[in-house]
Order: sequence, then structure tokens, then C-alpha cells
Amino acid sequence: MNQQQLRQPIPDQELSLELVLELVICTYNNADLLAGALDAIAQQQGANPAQWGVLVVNNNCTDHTATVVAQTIQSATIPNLRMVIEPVQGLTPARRCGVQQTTAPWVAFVDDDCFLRSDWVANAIAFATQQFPQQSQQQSQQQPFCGAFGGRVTLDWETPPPAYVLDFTYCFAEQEWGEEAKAVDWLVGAGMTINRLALERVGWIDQQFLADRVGKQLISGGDMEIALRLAARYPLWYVPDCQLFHQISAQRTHYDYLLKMNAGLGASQLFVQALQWGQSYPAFVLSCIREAWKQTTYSAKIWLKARLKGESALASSIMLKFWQGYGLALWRMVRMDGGDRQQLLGRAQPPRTQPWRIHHLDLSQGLESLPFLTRTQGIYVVLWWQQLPLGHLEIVAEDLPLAPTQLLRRLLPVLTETLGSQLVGQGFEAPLPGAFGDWQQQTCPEFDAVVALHRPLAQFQQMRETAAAACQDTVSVIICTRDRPDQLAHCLRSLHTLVTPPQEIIVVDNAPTSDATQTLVAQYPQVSYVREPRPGLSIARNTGLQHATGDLVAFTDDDVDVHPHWLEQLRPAFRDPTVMAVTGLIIPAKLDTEAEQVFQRGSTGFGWGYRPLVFDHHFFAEMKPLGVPVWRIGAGANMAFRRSIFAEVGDFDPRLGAGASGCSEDSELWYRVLAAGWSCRYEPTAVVYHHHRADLSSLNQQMQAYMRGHAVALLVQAENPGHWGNIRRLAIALPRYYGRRLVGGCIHRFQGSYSTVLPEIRGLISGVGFYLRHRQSSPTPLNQRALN
Amino acid sequence: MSYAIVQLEVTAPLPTIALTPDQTGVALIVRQRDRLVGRILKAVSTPCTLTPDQIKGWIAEAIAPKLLQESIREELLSTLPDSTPDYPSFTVAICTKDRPDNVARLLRSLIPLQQETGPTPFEILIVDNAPSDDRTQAIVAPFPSVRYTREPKAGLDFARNCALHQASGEWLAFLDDDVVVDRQWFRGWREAWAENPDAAAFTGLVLPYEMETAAQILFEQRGGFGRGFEKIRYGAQLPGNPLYPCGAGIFGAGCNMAFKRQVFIDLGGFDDAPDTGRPLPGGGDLDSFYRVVRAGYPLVYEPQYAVYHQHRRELHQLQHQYWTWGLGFMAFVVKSMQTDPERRSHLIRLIFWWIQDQLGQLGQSLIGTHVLPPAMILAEIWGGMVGLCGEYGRSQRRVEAIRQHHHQSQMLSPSDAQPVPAPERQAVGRSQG
Repeated sequence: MNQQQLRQPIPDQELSLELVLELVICTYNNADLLAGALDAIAQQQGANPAQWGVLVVNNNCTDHTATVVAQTIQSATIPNLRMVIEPVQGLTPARRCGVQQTTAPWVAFVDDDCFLRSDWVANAIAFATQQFPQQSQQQSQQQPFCGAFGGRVTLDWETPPPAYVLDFTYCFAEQEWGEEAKAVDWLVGAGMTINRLALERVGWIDQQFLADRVGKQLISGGDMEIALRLAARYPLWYVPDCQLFHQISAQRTHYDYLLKMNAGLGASQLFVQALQWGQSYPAFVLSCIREAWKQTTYSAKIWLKARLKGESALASSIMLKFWQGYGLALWRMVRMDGGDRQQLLGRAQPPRTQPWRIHHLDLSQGLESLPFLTRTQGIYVVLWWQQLPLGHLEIVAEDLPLAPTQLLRRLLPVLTETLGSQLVGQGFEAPLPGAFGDWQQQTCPEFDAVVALHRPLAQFQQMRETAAAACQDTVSVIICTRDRPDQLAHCLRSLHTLVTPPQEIIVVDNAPTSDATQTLVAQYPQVSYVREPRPGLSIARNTGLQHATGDLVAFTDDDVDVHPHWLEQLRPAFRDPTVMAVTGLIIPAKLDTEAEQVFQRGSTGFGWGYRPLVFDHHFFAEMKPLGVPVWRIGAGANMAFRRSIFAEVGDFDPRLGAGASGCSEDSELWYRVLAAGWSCRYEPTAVVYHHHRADLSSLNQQMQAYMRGHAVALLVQAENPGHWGNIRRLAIALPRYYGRRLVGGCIHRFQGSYSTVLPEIRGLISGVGFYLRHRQSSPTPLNQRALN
Repeated sequence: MSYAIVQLEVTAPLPTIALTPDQTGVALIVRQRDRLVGRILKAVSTPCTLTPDQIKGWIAEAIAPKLLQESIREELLSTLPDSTPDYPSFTVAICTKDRPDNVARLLRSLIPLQQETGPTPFEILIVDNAPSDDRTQAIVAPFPSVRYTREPKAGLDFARNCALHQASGEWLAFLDDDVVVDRQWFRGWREAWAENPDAAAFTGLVLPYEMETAAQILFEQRGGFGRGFEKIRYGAQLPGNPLYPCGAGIFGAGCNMAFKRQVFIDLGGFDDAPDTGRPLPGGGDLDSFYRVVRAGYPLVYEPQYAVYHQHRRELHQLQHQYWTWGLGFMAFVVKSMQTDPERRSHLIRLIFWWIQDQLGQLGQSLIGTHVLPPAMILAEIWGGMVGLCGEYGRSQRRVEAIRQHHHQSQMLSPSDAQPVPAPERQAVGRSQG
């Protein structure tokens, strides 16, 4: 996530050189129709030829397909026309090959029998690029606001079909939903234009569940699967201006063809239901049998009636064939082996919790409107002024679309809070966390200071730039990782976008099980690699410290992407010589799943706001009797220390942190910093993006580890004579709090914000046990360390 | 006993305010670059002189965030592309009855705004409601840019409906005759329209015109007609208010409101029954706002669209006003229960909420923690009880009688026929149905 790139407007010319859309035509022995389809594409008007291209996927054709394509390439009527050969027979492998062989952010599947209207490409490009006003290419890649779109599909009969065939236009993928573009639940395969990123995210490229038509065998469903899997996570759009004409040859309206086609469609209907199924397998079988029985008897009744009256029963015979196909597919499914079946059931089931879309809005580029969206709870708008974060807004889906002036009305109170605290200070201080709720200082702002603020946003920008320029401290960045090379690769890539590069980057590989991390780091000559075989985050951090040479030491995690201005903003926070530790703002990278949302909202989520906070010895003294809420100072994913402080208060306690008790090695160190009379500062302009745990089970594990570490940290902190507040919190405040949460959890059936209550309580209890077991191994207590 | 009302501009040097011995307090109306940003009421010990530092302290304490917010707003607006939208035509209607001096005062504040709007100024329409003499007409006569019309049927909503059909503007603003408009009033409407082109009604800020008597000070201390200095957009729902859109006066006041004329005509115009003086002298504005919002149109409160209202001077008048508030509110609730059965449960809960709220205020008043004396609150409760007990029906019958009477008199003496056609019966009937 490269904010710097996002903020730089792309010059028009450069944008126009990039492909926006590629058409993929999969074909098998249909050269004559293909020639017609290519002809229709050659007639396209109004689209910039540099923005689109065509790829023909030749699925082992034995006719003159290659010649047709070669001729069209020679005539140069279609921009960027290419042909590849896919040896594996079948429409799904051919489509997959098409997706893999193209690079454009949007891929349109066009069949060889689809003739595009002459403005199809122009309209599709217009829709694809205007999806989100003023949104740059990179941004749309980050958050697909539309998974796929498709247009009007009009049937073009070669010969006028018999009347009964008109009941079966669905077999020919007709699509007609009116004059207006709108969000829909479903799209047909013909002309479906897919957002590449969305397709990657739903995992279709890696694994397809439904085999499509294999050669001349008529089993459909591959395109249904794509549409359903996309629809489960992203909005689909119907764009009527993208019209195409589906050529229906006379042979395809024959009764026998329709029978075969419907048997195939019946089978794919069953598999599609399986993909969407949200309950157990036996329930699925039962529901399918019930459905098949109901429909079959209904069709049979109509067939019988028609027969008795001597009328044509062709339509009901076709329907019976459909349900026969459905029944046979069910039989196939029952006889499948368990593993394969599990692959199918519920794979395109829509998530229980709809995602929040995160949108980064740079106000210095002007206000923009927010579009109407489906399948989201809303938009989590992060407000920026160039590189400075100002706040966020949660705009629920019911309020969308939102005009710029309405957005302005909503964001003004947020901005006022942030800028007041950054520019005026007095009277605008953020409340400090307290043992019982937040603790607001009562001061009154200076009239003259407020009135003198002209163009406050520009002033804020200038103020931060001046502060950043005044700092010359050298910084060492330490990342501790364990067997997560993929995530680390992301993190390292983001570190290379820093506008003020650190003096050194140290990756501490903690008790690795493979050489993957070492191999990865070897690709980056500026990054030094240190291996620490003893497991434990605290140990790894201490090892990193031994290798660090900068004045300041900044820590971040491997599941984090840093903002390009992270260090530039972090350094000036140390201007005050009493500040020994600084933490920064953590913005969620995604809020798609329930687990991510619970974590973001929960008590341990990273919600410290956009106003700076100073935790000094007054704060410590005030809070000491009740337990100092050091865990509210920040998080280890975004923190920095003066290197000199470690000599004074000691290293990270090896009993704490991931790999030992769980976490809190960061807050326990801040506790020692504050106890020694120094200050900690929370600096919200130093930003990193954190990937929260995406599934509930790993969130539960994480919460359990958090509370375990918290309990141990409280006991470790209580080792200092007189620091009874920690015991008070562990023995009184926390049990009381969890008593209440437990009651609330029972009422709300441990859903939503209550879903992690039980793991948290388990964590607390096991934390006490952990401490008692590891008491002997305790290093020097705090007061002695401080003396050293 | 009186309060001095002082307009302040924070970007200019603040003045020293010398209060006369009979001034027991001060109301500061604060502007920043001519935009209204706050109203501060302070009681002071007399006689005294307020220094700029003292005033700065008060302003900073009360509205410092608002001052900063306005600066941010200005800066962000400068990032939007400049565009002069095509504003719709605008008529302001002043419904008055036998108060020519008030009309003259309002026109003096309104006509400069009309003149500065450029080549196509807005229309001013005076609706003289069943006047007993020609004085109002005489006042209006010297102003060529002011239209005068008469509505013979006595009743504020008859006059408003008359204006609705007589006006030429796409938008129609209503002003009571006991207000004076702020110099930013018309610009405030334009701002609100530019930001909310989809809205069908606007209400605006109401500030005190004078605070000369105990009654006026009391009224203002209780909040006046105040809805604050932040824009509010009332859409389909209002977070944190489960009874919405049923509520007591949440949308603003009828003395300063504007409607999209055609939309409001299609909704049936004003209901004639409230606001006819005794027995039902209020509630028409509540009803009209409610109907606009229930019809699915946004209603927007715009603080820059501001007027100064002359509050009731005497305590007994104030008490009567609170009585009419209670009465008008309950009449509105009773009417809405008939016309909007979908929201009946909301409305019943609203009645209980209102009674509970009033009793709470009465309790506070009895122990001395409320600005109003118990008698005033009792008056409002009593008004509410009367309103609940069929006042709306009685008023409807009375209005019907006025209409019949008017109809007959027109039939008897066609030569005396007014230049004003009666409001369309059909439209009015729909609003009651």
C-alpha cells in the first residue's frame, strides 16, 4: 500500500498507455463465427486503442481458426490482438489460461458467438474507469468496488425459433434488466467483465470447482461459478450500454439440442446450489431431493395434461430433462468422495458479515463524492491532508451515495478535533486513558490562537514539515519475524518506499523452520539478516537491539505495511528530551471479515485516535494506585525508543511477548520508562497499516495470547515494591469487568464484540499460571535494573 | 431589566461594551468573516464595562472549536472547483394581520437583500390576512418591488396556502411579520440549496431581536427557537432518535421556513385547521415539516439562513405562547395519528415521552434548577392536555365554518369578490384526509 504513489496524480498520457481492458475469446472449432465476432470487434468506435486489447484462446482447434486470427492480426483492425493455444480441453481451462495470459485490470469473457455492439468497448472502459470518481488506477486495485459487470445480452436468431423455445432463452444467456445501470446479484457469462484483483482474491485462478463444457459435451456452470464466487464478496453491476448480440444458430434451437443443454443446466444448477449452501451436507441432500421431487411432479403433471389434450408437450419434456440432469448430478455428488464434496459445499457462500470498504481520501486533492455500494456495511473513509492523517469517518451504506458537501458536513467535527489539538493544543487536548474511562483535562483555548488560524490544514502541513526537517537522528528499523516470508515480503517492499530511509533495517529471524526468510532478505542488500534460534519475540527484539546502531530504534511487525512518511513523522516526536518512547497510529489494511471488524472495534483494537498524547510522570503517578494503563500507549507494531534508554531500564522481558506468555513485552517496557520518570508519546502522524487476523479462530487465539501476556505483565510490573495498582487491576478490576462481559456474552450468545470473551478469560487464567511457573527465571527486578 | 444584544466580528478588533445600569446582561451574536457562528448569553452585575479580553475569554470558552471548524471549512471549500449554480427562482411570503409597523420593519431589512441579488431579484409577497383596515396596503404601496395580496379568510394557514398558489418562485420562503432578516439570510438559503438540491424544505436559525423584558430574556434563556449553529440534514432517519421523524419541534420554527413550492402543493399544501388563532393557534409548521419528511424529502436546517424574532414582551403573553406550543403540538400528534396510521405507535410513544419530559422539567422548576417558573411549564402541559382532547377536530369544524361563511358571502355579493382566489379545496381536503 503505497500512499505516496496514491497521492501523485497519474499524468493522462501515462494512464492512456496502460491497458484497461482485455477481451478474452475462448474458441473451439468455430472459425466462421469467430471471424464474425472479430469483425464486430474491429468495428469498435470511441475507445482509445491503447487502452484495450484482445486475446484469442485457441482450445486445440482443428479447423482454420489460426488462419482467421492471423488474417485479422495482419489487417491490423483490432489493437493488441494475440492468440495463445491452451492444450487442456475445456472452457474453464481456456478461460483460466486467458486470465493468466493477460495483464489488464479488467478482463472480459466474450464467446466466439457474441457480436459486440460498436460502442461496447468504449462503454465498458468508461464504466471500468469511472467506477469511483477521481479514483486512481492503483486505488481501484487496492479495493475492488465492483467485482464484475456485464451488459445487455440480446439473442440474434439465425432462423426464427419455434414458439416454445422462447420459454428457454435462459439457455442462451439472455440478459435484460432495464435501461439503468444497477447493482445485481448475478451475471451471465457472455460479456462478463471481471475485475482481475477481485478474481484473484476469491481464489478462482488457483482453484475452480465446476468443470465447464468439455469439448462438445454440454455441461455449463463455469461462468456461474465465477459470478457466484465474485458476488459473494463484491458487488456485481449490470451496465445496459454494453450490449452484445448472442448468435443462436438454427441447430441450437432444435429440440434435441435443448434437451441436452437443459440436462447440463440442471446439473450445474445443483452444483451452484452446493457452492452457495451454508449448512450441513445431509441437509443439502434432503433439500435437493425435496426440490427435485416438487419440480419433477409439477412438470410431469403439465406434460400429462398436455398429452391428454393432445397438445404439444415439448416444453414440459425439456423441463423434465432439466430436473433429470439435476437428479443425476445429485447422484454424482452423493457418490463423490468426501474430500471432493467438501471442496464444493459452501465455497461461494456469502460471508455472514459484510465488509467495510476502506477508502483513503486526500483532502488536499479536493473533496469527492462517495458512490453507492452494495454488499458492504459502508465505507471507512480515512481522511488525509497529503501525508498527514486527520481522522476517519464510518459512512454506513444507507447514507450512500454521499455528495461532497454532505461529506464536508460530516468530516468537519473530526477535523476540528485533530487540528485543534495539533495546532492550538491548549483546550483541544485529547483525553488521556484512565483506569475508569478517559480522563479529560479542563482547559480553555486561547481566543487569539484560534482566530489567527488561517488555512489551518496548510499550516499543519507546514508545521510537520518544519519539524521533520529539524531532526537529524539516525534510525535503525527492527522487524522480528517467524516463518511468514510472504507477509515479510510485503513489509520490506513498503519499507523501501520510505521517503527518509533508515540507517539500517534489521530482520531478526526467530527460530525459523526453513530458510525462506533468509532467502527473501538476501534479495535486499540494504537489509541485514540476523538469526535468533531461541524462540520468543522479546528475545528476538533484544537480539535486534544488540545489532542496532542508530540513535533511535523503531520496531515494526511483519504483518504491517509502513506509510512512506512513517519515519519522517516518527523522528520529530523525540524532540522533547524527556520522551524516551514513541508509538504511532495503526490503520487497518482491510476490514472485510468479522474477525477484522471485531479486532478493530474491540478494546484491544488500535483505536487511539488522531490526536497526539503525552504520557509523563504525572500520568504515571496519577494512575499508579489503580494500575497504569500502559497498554493504551500504543502497540509493538509501530513503536520506537531512544537506544540509550535500554541501558537505563533494561531490555524486553523474555517472559513476555509472543512465543513466551503472549504479548505485553512492549507495554511492560513503557511501564519501566514511565516509572523511571521519563515520558512516552503517541504520535498519530506516524502511520503503519496492519493486517488484522482475518478469521475468528486465529483472532480468538490472538486475544487469548493478549490477555495471557497482559496478566503476566501485570504480575511482572507488581514485582516492584509498592506497585500495588497492578495487583488491584488483576484481582479486582479485571474480574469485575469480565463478570459483566460474561453476562453480556450470555445474552448476546457470544456474537460480535462478545465473540472473544471466553478466550480472553482463559488467557487471563493461564497467564497467572504461566507467571507462577516462570517466577524463578525472573531476571533482575526493575528497581535494581534501574540502578544499573 | 434587559440584555444588550451585540453583534461581534471575531476577525476584527473586539469592542469595549459599556452597559447601562438597567442592562443586566448581554447577548453576543458572534460572526466570523460575516458568518454566524455563535450566540452567547451572559448575565453580568450592573453597571459594568466589558473589556475585549473578557469577551475573548467568553468566546473562546463557548465556541472555540466552532471558530476553528469554520476556518477548516473555508479552506476545504477552496479546494472545490468554483461553480455558480443555477439557483431556482425564489419568493418570500410574509403573512400578516393588522401589524403594519412590523411589516415595515421587516421590509426595511429585506429590501436591501432583494436589491443586491442582481438582475433577477427574488419576489416579495405580502399576504394581508383578513385585514380590518388598509394600513398594511398603504405601507407596501411605496415599494414597487413588493407584491401585495389579500386573503379574506382569517387564519394563518389560509394565508400561507394563498401564498403557495400566488407565488411565482420555484422556492417559497415564509416569514412571520414579527421577525427581521439577517444580512446573510438570502445567501444562507442559496448555500443550503446548493448543498442540498434534493431537499424540499429548509428551516433556519432564529435569534432574538430584542431582549428588553423579563419575558424575552426568559424565553431566550430557555433556548428560544434555538437549533444551534450547525447544519442539520433530516433525512429518512436520525441516528440516536428512535421516535424520528415524530418529534416536538425538532425541525425548526415556522417563523423562518422555506419550501419547494410544487412539492409542497403536491403534498396538499398547509392544513388549514391549525394556526387559526383561538381555539388552535399553532402546530401548522410542525405538521408541514412532518409531512415533507414523511414523503421522503430531506429537510435541512441552515444556521446562516437566520432571522431575528421579536419574542413576546409580557410574561402573560409568554405563558400563553407556551400554552399554544403544548396545544399545537398535541393537535399535530392527534392529527398525524389519523392521517399517518403507520407511525401511530411512534406517536403514542411520543405523547408519553412528551409528558414525561414536561413533568421532568416541572420537577426541575419546582426545585429551582430550571429557568422557567412552574406556571409556564404547567401552561404548556395544560395546553397539551387540551390539544389531546379533541382540539384538532373542533378547529376543523371551525375552519369549515369560516370557509362556508366566506363562500356564502362571496355568493351573496359577487361585486365584492376578492382578487384572490380561494385556495383549492381539493388540495386542502387531501391534506386532511
